[in-house]
Amino acid sequence: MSESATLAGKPRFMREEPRPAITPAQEAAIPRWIAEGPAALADLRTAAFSALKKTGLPHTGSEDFSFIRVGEFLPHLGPPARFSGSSSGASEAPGAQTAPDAEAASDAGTESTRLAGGLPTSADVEAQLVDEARRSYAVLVDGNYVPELSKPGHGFRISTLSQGSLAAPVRAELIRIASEETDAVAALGMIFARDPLVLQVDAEAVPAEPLLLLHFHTGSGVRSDALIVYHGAKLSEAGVLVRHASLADSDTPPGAVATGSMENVHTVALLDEAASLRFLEAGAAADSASKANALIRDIHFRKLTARLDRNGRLQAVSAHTGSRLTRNGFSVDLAGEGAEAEVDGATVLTGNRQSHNFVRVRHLAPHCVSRQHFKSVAADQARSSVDGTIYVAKGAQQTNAYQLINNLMLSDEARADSKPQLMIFADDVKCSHGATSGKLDPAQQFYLESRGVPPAQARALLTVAFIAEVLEKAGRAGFREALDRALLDTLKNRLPAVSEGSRHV
Amino acid sequence: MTASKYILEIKGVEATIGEPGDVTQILKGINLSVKPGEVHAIMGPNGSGKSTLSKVIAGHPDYEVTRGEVLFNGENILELEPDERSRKGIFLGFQYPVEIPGVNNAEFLRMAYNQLRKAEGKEEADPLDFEEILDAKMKALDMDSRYKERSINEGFSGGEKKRNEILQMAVLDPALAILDETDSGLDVDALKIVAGGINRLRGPGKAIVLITHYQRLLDYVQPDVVHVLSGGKIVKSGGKELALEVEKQGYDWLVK
Repeated sequence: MSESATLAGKPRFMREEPRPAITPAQEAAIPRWIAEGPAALADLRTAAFSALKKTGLPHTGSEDFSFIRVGEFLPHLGPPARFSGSSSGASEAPGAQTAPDAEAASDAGTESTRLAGGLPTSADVEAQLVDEARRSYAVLVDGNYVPELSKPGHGFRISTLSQGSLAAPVRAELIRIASEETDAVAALGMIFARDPLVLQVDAEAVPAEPLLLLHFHTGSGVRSDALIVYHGAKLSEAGVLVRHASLADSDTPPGAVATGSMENVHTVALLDEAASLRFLEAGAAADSASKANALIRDIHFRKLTARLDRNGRLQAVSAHTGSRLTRNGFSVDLAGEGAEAEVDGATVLTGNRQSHNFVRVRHLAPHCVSRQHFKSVAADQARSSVDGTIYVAKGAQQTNAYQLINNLMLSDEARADSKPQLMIFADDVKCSHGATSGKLDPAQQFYLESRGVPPAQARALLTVAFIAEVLEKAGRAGFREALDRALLDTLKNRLPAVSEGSRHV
Repeated sequence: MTASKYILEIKGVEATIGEPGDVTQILKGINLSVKPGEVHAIMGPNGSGKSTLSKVIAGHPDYEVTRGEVLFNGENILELEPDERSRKGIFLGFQYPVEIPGVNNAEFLRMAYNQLRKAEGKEEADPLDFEEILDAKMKALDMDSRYKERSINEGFSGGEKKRNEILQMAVLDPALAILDETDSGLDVDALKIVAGGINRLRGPGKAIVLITHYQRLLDYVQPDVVHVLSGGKIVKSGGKELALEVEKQGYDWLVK
């Protein structure tokens, strides 16, 4: 189609296929939800709703969900019960399942009553802090900002979207992004996120400490939608660190919540000219039995949407251990000349856990650079995938882009899929991509063993070393430790020698 | 220290490599006895089985010993895993040391060192104490302290890798060191330094087996016994004059 070849146009990454639209329940509920919600959010929600209607719900043949069983998460996509219209909606179609009562009750409550009982304690918060952001953090519970537990550091202006603190052009850009959303789950998130958190860094500001975003998930058995909007003004330079933690009750025996919860967390980063953002995200650590159970039960959708203006800089590193189903989306637009983005992912999966990365990097202007490196370790029957496309628009000359996917398989039953794609509509570009899948190198293993390192420890050491290459990009020690923990606690269960091995990497 | 009069005894060892259906016999009956305090040199043309012999002693999983025994201090080690052999005091210096990105050189050395101490029933070394040991060994090998920060052999030149092998040997202080072409890829200065490292290991309870193509290393590390390996067998053994003979005349006169 011709529009895909224009700079401003919106390229389609998939073939147009007949797809089911949204369910009648959603069709009925969403306008009511918008009408009854804060007027200040209506434009965003309306834009996302129009995008959702265009995109439709994912279905088995959806190319954007090639490696995922759509049926796993479709039942979680319904509107909150109070807005789900007729009760028949629960059974008539996928996506229309009625959410449990807890959600309906919470809809009616105020911020504080809604969160009562599910709030993390200050000790919970303290446990998640990292050295480099000890005086700069914001706490969210199921996507809702909790100011009384937060302590944003100097240089970050924090508000919520309904407070109207975004300048008109920035807000317009956010609305545009919502209206062009092609990911149905992200669109739903933008509709149902209660009052998105807004982080702003003023022009030329360089906060000394990064801001740590602490996402606590109560695991209440329903879907929670979070939207965070970051705006970095011209020449600003900041870091946002993201940690996820489960507040799952440690008394909950495995399997007690049959369906698990769905966490839908979407961060939209808008970077003005020469603004720079480091965005590091660590998944929840499986550092206790209850947390591990939550990971087995729950569905995690995370997405980073970023738009970089001229000479903007983005570095994104995400480290996850997967869950019943985890999907990490990255949608990065290099919209101004000279913008540069690095997107890296590290995943360690054990048991039946899954993690799927879905990456779209679009070069929309000349002289932009993008680099992607995804590394996954899959043990047992775990499954991972990377579906990544580099798109170069017509006119985006002198693009320099690459993508590398490396998979390490620790068992014959593990599976890793790679789908690297290039779509290039300019003729003077340098683009490359590659993917490898393999086992541990026996020569390396023998070398370590020949020096007296026991086989299990040698394997652990090499596995950690494999993943460390991506983690090292996260740089500074404090958060690196959080990333390590997120991954290595998982590996420890699988490879007991890892705790010793990791100290040596 | 041991009931056996030999540190290493290789008795009639035959070894193969390959998958079933595609098996190649490389060692065809090796006999070799090394006493404590001795340095043996094994020379031989390419493909004679020198590297295979070293890997068989170290326990490389690609090789199958189909006949014979390898005794270390009187104990048959063929059933032991490579790491167990290492902790008993066998060290293999690789001809082509692998690069292991992501595993820090110094930390790895400390880990190996502590494994050894654990096997000997000793406590782990204090990190600062270990650093002192390491610094001294590195200084003796004229190695820059930068090598501590780097990943194992990553981006090292051929000579740097060989020096790193000798460093590992010095730290682990093995009873038996088998050095597979440790001299290749070294310029004269580096050769002298590496030879110095090897000579420092020499001692009454220790033995060294040098595998080499050329006699130049033997100018710096004087061997007690020289063997020539050809076609998977030792075809001649003698004193250090045998190495000079080989240097002068090549292998043809021995092989035919």
